[in-house]
Amino acid sequence: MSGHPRELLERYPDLLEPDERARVDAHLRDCPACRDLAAQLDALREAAGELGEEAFQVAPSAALDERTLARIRAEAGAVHSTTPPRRRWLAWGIAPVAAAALLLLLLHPASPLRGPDPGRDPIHDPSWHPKGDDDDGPRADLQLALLEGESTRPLAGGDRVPADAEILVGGVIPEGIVVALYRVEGEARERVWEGRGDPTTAAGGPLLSQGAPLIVRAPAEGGFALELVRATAEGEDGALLERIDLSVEEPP
Amino acid sequence: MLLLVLLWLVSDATLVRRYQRGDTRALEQLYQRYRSPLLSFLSRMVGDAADAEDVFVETWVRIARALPGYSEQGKFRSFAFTVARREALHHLERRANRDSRAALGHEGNELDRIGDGGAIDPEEGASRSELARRIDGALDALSAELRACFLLYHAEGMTVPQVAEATGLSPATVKRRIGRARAILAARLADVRAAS
Repeated sequence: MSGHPRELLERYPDLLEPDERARVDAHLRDCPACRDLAAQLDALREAAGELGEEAFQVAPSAALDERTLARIRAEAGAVHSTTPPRRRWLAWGIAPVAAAALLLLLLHPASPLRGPDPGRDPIHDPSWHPKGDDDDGPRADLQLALLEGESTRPLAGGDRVPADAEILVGGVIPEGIVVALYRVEGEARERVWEGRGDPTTAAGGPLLSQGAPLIVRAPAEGGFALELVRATAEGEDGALLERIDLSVEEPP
Repeated sequence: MLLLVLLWLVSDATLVRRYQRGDTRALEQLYQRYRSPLLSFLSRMVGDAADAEDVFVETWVRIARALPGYSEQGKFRSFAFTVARREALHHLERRANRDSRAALGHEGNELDRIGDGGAIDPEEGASRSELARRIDGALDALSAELRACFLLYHAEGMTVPQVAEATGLSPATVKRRIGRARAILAARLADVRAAS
């Protein structure tokens, strides 16, 4: 059987470089025996793909689930008791439904959260509007919503929020524009997020913080602000684009 | 639309970040997502069902322990299978003294062993699922390393670079091992066919 490219045939056709594949193709044209082997391996390759389908999957029993989850919880508790949270102001344990509700509002063409908000009069850098037209060009808008259990309530600048409230931050920012988000409380100014508008298949266009919901916690008293700042890829800050001030409700 | 948004919100990366910030429920959600693929992979790697369950539990404990320090949040799937493969290999190494499996360095050309009858008749009426079942039953002909590459590529649908990442091998080695595994399986199926 010498002269047959058997080692290449094992990897034919999906695991071969183009030149290797061309060699095997040429050989197969003149070798019925290798053609037969290639057909068998092809059938094996296609059938092997079914091993990942549900019918061939093994689901853990309820007892195994219980045993594994108990070990996971114990291990996670031990790990986190010795590992301080990276950023305490961020809380990710939100209800997905609540976050989804805000995003739906953001993405819906008729959403009151989209478009200019004359009540807030945000500061806009002209470069946000490459077409020079607020109605047509992409614009930057911070959109806030108060998380209340499983639901959300849209917020605007000047609103009052409960102490320690969780606030979901969203927004539509032009693709490719780098921004930074700051949380300002008194003299303290903390950079809490930076990135660029990511393309999305949704109708709303590029989103702030695509990939993870962005949540900011209100302070226990007083007030705080969120500032959206134009930034460079090197991390330098540019123009202030928008600032939203919120105050914390006085305890009854 | 709602479904799309929900799916986006609970991406693996999101869950990893939440767990890294102390939310144990996020890891439980990842567990629900990957429990069957990982147990299936381990069952095929280890062979024995009871042993596979032990390795499965140990794999998740290792994941829970290692994930807080893991920086590639978007690649949880590769990370999980990396841990699973490593745990399976450790288990098999411990068992190796009493159970010698097919040698990784076997240099014979299995395709030459396939007689005229062939291992698989592509024209035969047997369904693809039936052939998959036969392949599943023949996996013990493969060494653990060949089996891992073969399963990650074919059963888990990973690309060669993803398998390379999960196994720590070069892409060229991964390709060779998947090819070897195919040839060995084809020869094993031919042996079974000839015997029957």
